[in-house]
Amino acid sequence: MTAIAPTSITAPGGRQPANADLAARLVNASKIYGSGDSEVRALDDVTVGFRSGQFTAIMGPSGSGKSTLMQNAAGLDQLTSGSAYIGDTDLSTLSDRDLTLMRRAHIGFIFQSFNLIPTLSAEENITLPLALDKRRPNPETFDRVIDVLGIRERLDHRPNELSGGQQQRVAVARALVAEPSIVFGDEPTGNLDSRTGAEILEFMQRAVQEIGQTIVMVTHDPGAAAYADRVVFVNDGQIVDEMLEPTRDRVFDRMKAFGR
Amino acid sequence: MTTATTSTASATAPRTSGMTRVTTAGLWANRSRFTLTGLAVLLSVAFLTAMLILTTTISGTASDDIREANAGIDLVVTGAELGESADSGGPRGADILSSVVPLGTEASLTAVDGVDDAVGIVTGYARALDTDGIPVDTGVITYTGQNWVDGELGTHTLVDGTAPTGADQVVLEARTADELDLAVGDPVEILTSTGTLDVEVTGIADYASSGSDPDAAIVFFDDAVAADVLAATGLERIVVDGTADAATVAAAVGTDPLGNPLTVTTGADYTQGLIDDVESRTSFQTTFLLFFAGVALVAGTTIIYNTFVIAVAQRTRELALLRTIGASKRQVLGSVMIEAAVIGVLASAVGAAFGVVTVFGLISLFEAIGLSFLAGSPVITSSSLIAGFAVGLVATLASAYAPARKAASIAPIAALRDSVNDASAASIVRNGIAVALLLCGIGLGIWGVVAGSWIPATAGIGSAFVGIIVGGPGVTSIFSRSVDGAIGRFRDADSTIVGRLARMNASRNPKRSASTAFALTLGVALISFFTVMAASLGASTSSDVGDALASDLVVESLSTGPIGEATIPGDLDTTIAGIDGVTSISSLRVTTALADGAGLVVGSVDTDAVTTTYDLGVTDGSLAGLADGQIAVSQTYLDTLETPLAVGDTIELTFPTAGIVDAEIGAIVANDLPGLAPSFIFDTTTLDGIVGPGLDDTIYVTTNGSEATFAAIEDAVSAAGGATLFTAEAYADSLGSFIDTFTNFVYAMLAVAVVIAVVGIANTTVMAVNERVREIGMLRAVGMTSAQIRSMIRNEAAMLSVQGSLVGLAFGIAAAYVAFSALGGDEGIIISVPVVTMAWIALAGAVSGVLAAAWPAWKASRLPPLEAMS
Ligand SMILES: Nc1ncnc2c1ncn2[C@@H]1O[C@H](COP(=O)(O)OP(=O)(O)O)[C@@H](O)[C@H]1O
Ligand SMILES: [Mg+2]
Repeated sequence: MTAIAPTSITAPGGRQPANADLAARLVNASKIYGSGDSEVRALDDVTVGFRSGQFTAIMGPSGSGKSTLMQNAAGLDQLTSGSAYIGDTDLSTLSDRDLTLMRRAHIGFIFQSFNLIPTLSAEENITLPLALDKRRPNPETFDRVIDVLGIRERLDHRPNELSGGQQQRVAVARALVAEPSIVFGDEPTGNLDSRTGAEILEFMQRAVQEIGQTIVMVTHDPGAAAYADRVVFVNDGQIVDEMLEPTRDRVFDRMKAFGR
Repeated sequence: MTTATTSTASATAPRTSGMTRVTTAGLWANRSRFTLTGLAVLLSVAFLTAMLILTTTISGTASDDIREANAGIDLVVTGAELGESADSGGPRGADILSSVVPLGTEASLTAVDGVDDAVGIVTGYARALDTDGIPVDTGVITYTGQNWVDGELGTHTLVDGTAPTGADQVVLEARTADELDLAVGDPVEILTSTGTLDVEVTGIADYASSGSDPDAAIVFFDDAVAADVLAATGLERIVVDGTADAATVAAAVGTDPLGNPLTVTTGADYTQGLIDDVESRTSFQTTFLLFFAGVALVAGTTIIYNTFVIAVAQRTRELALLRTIGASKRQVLGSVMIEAAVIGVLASAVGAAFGVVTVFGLISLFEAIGLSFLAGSPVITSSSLIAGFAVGLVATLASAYAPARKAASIAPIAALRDSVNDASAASIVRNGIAVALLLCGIGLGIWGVVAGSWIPATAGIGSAFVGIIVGGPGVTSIFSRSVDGAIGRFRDADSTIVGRLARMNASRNPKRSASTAFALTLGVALISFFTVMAASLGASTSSDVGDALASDLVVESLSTGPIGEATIPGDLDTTIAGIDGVTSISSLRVTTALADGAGLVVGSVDTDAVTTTYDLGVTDGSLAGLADGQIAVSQTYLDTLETPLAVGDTIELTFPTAGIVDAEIGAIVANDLPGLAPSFIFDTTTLDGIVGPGLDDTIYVTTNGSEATFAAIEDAVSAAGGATLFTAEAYADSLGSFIDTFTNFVYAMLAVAVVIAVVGIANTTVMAVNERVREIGMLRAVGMTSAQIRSMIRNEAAMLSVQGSLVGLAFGIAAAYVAFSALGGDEGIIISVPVVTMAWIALAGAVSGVLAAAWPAWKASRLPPLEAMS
């Protein structure tokens, strides 16, 4: 645990320099599911980095390997070959326990659904990663995140007392309050209507712009990708293109090129 | 997870085979939970089958044997019925005390028309000794000697050797000969009420086809000497062969020594009486055994029910989907019931077979804890196996039926909803009913205690028990909330997030948690109840005796207990009295008699020595007059009389062999001698004069305390055989030792229910883990370590087991308190709650949950965090 240098890049209020270190990266990463005839090469020799303080979207058709890429970069799964780094730490060198502690301290997650523990209140859900580490949240960070997300009134509520949008805000708050080096999201707005989805995406964007949070988000929605600073296009397990300062229309056009 | 795939598959398949496939696929996909459910059924059925085999062994063949052995007897003449015996202390443990038939009466029948043969049977105490002088133990009720009867009127037939002739020959039953490893021609020592005899075994005999009398181990002597050797003052019965009717025989035989007309019964009635005696004695044992089988079955059934309730809840969407695509209610009901049937058939069949193994295990266990009510090998009949199987199958189907009905009533629309967690359980109405039942139970319990009446006491216990069942879910919610609150107050809340998650999980579905905990509650409640009962009985006996005992050593017959027999050789007391350093010695002899038609145990002591060995606590009169034939009676007996008796009054005692004795009350005593409650005490010379000499039951010895004296006494006792030497404290403790044996037996029996309960906790935990795979994956993703996951699951199970055992403990103690206060108030039972034992029981119960969760916790901790995203 102590071996992993905490790259505290979430200094409140200031953006990180554009060419700061990479918060996470994959090097020659391949992931193969199954074997023989049923072998699926979900990631095929991918090398990609995610810069600190940047909001990256991973786009690609269904089944292209977006989720696989994110899961491996986030230390939720083991690569078949190649390496995944968080900061300077090679995840493949970590034991299950150290990997867990790494996720707890340095990585935030926002899933598409089932983000929250139904038996815990919103506040307990938000502080869960810290509580697992027997830590308390930094009160400033906590207050700011809660207020920006507008969920202060809902802190005592159980997830089943919250709307889908509120639940996702709580999930975003959980991902941010622990001040992780990087936040990964897998279609975090996939289950929301477009207006609520847009609100969540704005919060994520603000977190990047205002506190320099690093975010990597998988999506298949060009509109969602447009909130990012950079879009990485994946197809058939490979990175096929990249786009900076994306707009919805440009992403949409690029996606059409995949012919699906 | 897998369920979704199954249902889609069935959508395209033809209907009937589709439903079958859904069922089989469902069983396979959920094999771990059905394995555990099956295990619960298997354990219950195995235990039940074992109990059925044991009950058959105990009672099954005895009646056939008795009929066979007594088949040649047409009429039986016995003494007059005098009254009920005390504690089944009558001959052969019979409930009725009868007088005897005068010696020689059979001669008056030889001339009677229609009597072909008439033989008088004399009985008396006789027990074979092993080469060390230790009396043989074949696990029977009594050890007797009897005259050998040849031919049709005899109950036994020789299988080897010849009938005994003269005073130095005997025939033994095969069981005794086997136990002592004796063959025809071998010498053997026989302990009788007049001393030990050195004799030769001339024959081995079998009772009916099974080899041994079901109640007694009999040593046969020559007809000519039996009455002498056995010091018999009368015949126990006359057996008659012939066509004469009962009235003719009755007229010919006359009266008993007390002047009552003798009883004449037909062979058939006599045989039935013997069978009834055996059955009334064994029915207690069989009822007891079946009670424990029932407890195990209830525990098992709760788990089957619980499994199916959870399974149906988990499959709500799948079942609704089946309904949407056209499955009828009956098909859905059928698919659940088929699952139950598959589990029921497999587990019950294996369980019944496993029951046979269990029987042998239990028999060795009984031997290990010193229980010997089972002699010989188990009688394994196909009906025991079939009954075990059938009960298991029916119980499985019955407990799956309600959940199956619920499954069938799932609306197709449920397929479109998120599955809803049933947290509804702790409804106000339900909790209200539970509180009402509990209060009613407490009220009735208090009434029972105050009034000393068992009807309100048992009703109160029952009502409270139902209250616990009804209120289970409410208790779960309150319990986890208060544990959570308590822990939150004492510890930094953030540091206990894992524990908090566990506590929240345990109360997530209160109905499910409650019914899981119930099996453990039941087991722990019964264990606590019996523990308090045993401790109270033990405390009552040992403390009384410990206080009153003044001697420093006690020599005790080998086999005492509820139906003990005196086994101390006649001359041991004189030997000990002669040892240097022995300052005082008093021996206790006992016999049975009746007062006011009720059987009682009458004892005799050496009056001049008893004051220094045992404090009888004289409250009125004095023991001095005992030497002149007066009797000492305990106050507890006088308290039961309607017309009070006082010192100087006369009490009429009827001795079955010796007739009526009017004894003047010389003293009233407060302390009963062990085994004599209430006490009737004569001086030794008086009682010897009435019933003839007997063996000592107990010898109290006071010494100068020197080690040499103790060593000399020790040597004398071991040389004599038939006796055990205790120090005073050890003796007081040993009086409770049969209680220890009993408690161990009960623990062993209830352990099965507890094991089943633990399987149930494991099962519920496995199902909960399966249900929460995504959630656990999510926890892993956000940083919960495998160890924390394991700890969470273990804590969750511990919440169930702690709740189950605490409720069980509280209920068991309360029920025992109420029951014994209501029942045992006048008998002076001290209610004693052994706190340390109770703490151990609670701890073991709580730990059992953690053990139960070990495997599910390990499984959960191995779930990859990815599960959260798929
Ligand atoms: N656990 C798995 N086992 C086998 N194949 C998998 C597994 N997870 C993903 N795949 C396959 O890997 C490929 C990439 O999947 P995924 O990363 O989920 O794609 P995306 O998120 O872009 O839709 C797909 O072909 C998918 O079927
Ligand atoms: Mg995906």
